[in-house]
Amino acid sequence: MTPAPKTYVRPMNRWWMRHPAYRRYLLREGTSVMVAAYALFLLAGMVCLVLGETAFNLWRGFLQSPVSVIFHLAALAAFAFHAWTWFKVMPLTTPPLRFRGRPVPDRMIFRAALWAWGIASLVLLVLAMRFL
Amino acid sequence: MRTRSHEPIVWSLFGAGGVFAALLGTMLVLIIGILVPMGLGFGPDAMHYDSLRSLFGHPLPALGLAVVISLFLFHGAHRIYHTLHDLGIPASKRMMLACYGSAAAGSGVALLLAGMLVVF
Repeated sequence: MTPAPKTYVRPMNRWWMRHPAYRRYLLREGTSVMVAAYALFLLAGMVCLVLGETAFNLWRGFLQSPVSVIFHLAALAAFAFHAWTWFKVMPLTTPPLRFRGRPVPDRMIFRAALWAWGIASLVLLVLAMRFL
Repeated sequence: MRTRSHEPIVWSLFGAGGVFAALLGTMLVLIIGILVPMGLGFGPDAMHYDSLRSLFGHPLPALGLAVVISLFLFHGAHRIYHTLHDLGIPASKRMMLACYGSAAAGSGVALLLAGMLVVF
């Protein structure tokens, strides 16, 4: 049996150092860690809310701490970057859209998504101010 | 028997989570972590135990919160699973189970808690 030929395999170590676009890609994918972490943080709040007032006040009190403010500023940046990049690639993920027989331009889809982001945020803020 | 890909299902959950995170995430974090603790536009009694218990005693807000948590988890699980592959940790059956399994477990807990908030 002949030994397997030695074919060249391109090394992939530290591939993200090779191009700024690769780092932006990793940063975009990295926002998902924060999305999951924030879900766990909300879940912890839910657990405390079920456990009772003492437990919930611990969670509520943590919001007041500098650690929480730093965590939330980081989360804010991650969610904003996620939203921006999510809407940027939306023209690629939506099925081909047509309006009056013409394809909808990519930047129109992006702009509509930004409007939806603004309106959804405003609605959430108004609801929170009314009910929290 | 033809084997079917699980990809459409997890991609739908990932996509739905991505849309929720993009549309609501920023404001959610801003309200909970910045505006309420600093009292900007919210009174000192905002997000206190009694008001949240009465709010999440209704099925719709409780279920809504559980769904948001669940979709965020599936969004994170899917992206982490694929990005770990890019970073040199191969996409294996075990990794898949770890990622989507923990998202499913977290979702189960969130739904259970939502039910408890409504019933008790």
